[in-house]
Amino acid sequence: MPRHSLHFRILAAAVLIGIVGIAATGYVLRDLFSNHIEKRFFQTLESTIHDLVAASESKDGNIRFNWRPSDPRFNTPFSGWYWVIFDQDNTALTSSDSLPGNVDTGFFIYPDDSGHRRFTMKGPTDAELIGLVRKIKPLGSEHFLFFVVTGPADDTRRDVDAFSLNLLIALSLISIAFIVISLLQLRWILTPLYKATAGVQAIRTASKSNLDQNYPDEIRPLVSEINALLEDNAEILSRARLQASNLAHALKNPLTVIKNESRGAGGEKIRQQVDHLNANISRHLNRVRISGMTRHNGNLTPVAEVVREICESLDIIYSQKQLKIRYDIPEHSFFHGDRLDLEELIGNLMDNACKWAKHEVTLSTQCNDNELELSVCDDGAGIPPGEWDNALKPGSRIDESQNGHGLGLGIVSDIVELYGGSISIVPKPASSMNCITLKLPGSQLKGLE
Amino acid sequence: MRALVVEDDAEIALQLREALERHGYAVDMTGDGEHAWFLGDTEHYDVVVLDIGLPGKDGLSVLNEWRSNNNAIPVLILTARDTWREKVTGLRSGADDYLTKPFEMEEMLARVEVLTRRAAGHASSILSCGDLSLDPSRQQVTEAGKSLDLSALEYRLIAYLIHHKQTVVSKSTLNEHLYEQGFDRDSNVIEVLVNRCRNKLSGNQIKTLRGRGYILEEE
Repeated sequence: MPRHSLHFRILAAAVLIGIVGIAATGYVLRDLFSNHIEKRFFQTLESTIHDLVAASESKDGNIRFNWRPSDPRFNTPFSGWYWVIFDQDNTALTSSDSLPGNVDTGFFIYPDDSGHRRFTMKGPTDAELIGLVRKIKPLGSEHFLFFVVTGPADDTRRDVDAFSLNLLIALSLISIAFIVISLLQLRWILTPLYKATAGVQAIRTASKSNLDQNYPDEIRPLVSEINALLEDNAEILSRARLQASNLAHALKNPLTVIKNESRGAGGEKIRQQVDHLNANISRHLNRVRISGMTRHNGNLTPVAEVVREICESLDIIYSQKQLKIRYDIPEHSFFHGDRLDLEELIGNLMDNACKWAKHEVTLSTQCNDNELELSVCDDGAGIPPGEWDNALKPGSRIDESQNGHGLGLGIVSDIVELYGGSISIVPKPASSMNCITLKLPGSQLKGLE
Repeated sequence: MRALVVEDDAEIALQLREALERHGYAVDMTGDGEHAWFLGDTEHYDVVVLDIGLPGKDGLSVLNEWRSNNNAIPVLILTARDTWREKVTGLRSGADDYLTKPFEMEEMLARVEVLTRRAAGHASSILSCGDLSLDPSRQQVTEAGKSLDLSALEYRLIAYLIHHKQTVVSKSTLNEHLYEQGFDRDSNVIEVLVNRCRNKLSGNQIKTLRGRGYILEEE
């Protein structure tokens, strides 16, 4: 995951918060629980001492016990739960059943004079014990006695450890859930941005013209700005195109005058240059027009409609020649691009074919899911194979495509190249027709009225 | 034969006028769309050379209005824009042909000639009526293969009559089609002109229909 990604940041933040927060929570909870357990442990020891004190009776200088604690742990041998009562001479007077008679009680730490303290020590089984000592003078006795009660240290530790383990599992699960939820949340939050990205991509690949407004409040200003930027760009582009076009057309009138003023001997060179200039203007004007045109719209152009219009015009233009201009276009064939571009493609190809045809020009199309194939055929002399490359080379020099066979294929090549299509010359000796075939982005839409 | 040139570029307009006059046309000129519409609507032209990019009312609007008023005057449009959209729009608006700038006057004249011929219902480029034949591209009228020496006005008259052969043509129609706008028209002038032409022809193909006008017959 790249360090600059939002996922990384969110994940890092989630992990950091998880570790620190959960560790602190765990520590506090464990501490509280441990204190609680310890407190309960000492309460047990304390209440046992109270019971022992209450049950010790002094009679004629002798101490008697008529009570045994009901807690079974004090009766289980070597359970760690022990009690012993010492006299002032440190002689054990009596002890719990958990310390069998033959056990030396000497292991107990004898209390000091304060008579009231907590201690830890090793017991008879070497297990660690926690104990409490009280120095009390029982009722009716003249001597102090030491009441010692212990419990196994393990007991509290086991409880705390078990609690800690459960706590760790619970907190780990919470941490994982926290991280997963953070990532899901991020994905959810980022969805509109992913959508906007896809939208901008669609605009770039010409299948949409702007972003819709269906975005969360926080993203909508960005979307509006992108749309405004696109509009601005389109406006600047169209203004620039208009100015280029105006400039080009402003040049056409003087060119007409120059061309006609240079009639007669010696003017041939000037006229050639005027033609050259004009061809350059047309070619570059066309390039200005098509550049950026397809990038900013998702137009579908109905092929049949354009073909009908062009062929009607050609019928008028070539009415003297009495050509048979035939076309066969399935309805609902669409060109994925600008209408003007398709008009230039079909117009130039058909015009070229009409110019060279003897009797007949045909236009046919085939359309599948993503490709439109246009074939224009005529029964004229055709282009000599040696000149195909020159005629079709995209961006070929203007004089090459302009002169010679007078083919306006330069413009066609430029447009085809822009759309990533292909162009090929197919001679058909069998039918004595010459065909030029274009492959362009297109589609056949069914059920469309 | 009369032509209207609608072109706002003065230099091109002059070249057009010169070329058309050389070709035997009486030429009116204007560079204004509104005025062009008015002229086309009120005067009788045999052909109009119409620039599309006019200041004010543009050429296509002028053409559209003529066509929607059933004015079938043959129109050759001139355009500086050579996109197919422009051509299709022009031709769909009712233009009979188009020419892209820069063009050569010879090309323009050839187109104009085709338009006037087509409007008169002739298919061949050489028009004939009996012994008379007219070659517009060479501006030559021959009678039985012999070339006639005609003045500009005489040529205009015979060309008009050959275009409209075997049709009665009134004096006022001739007036409208032979002279530029503003010419002081007098029906006597037409009579004099017709007589001059008759004298140059050996046959008597130009007949007078009293009170109705003239007719060019094949004999």
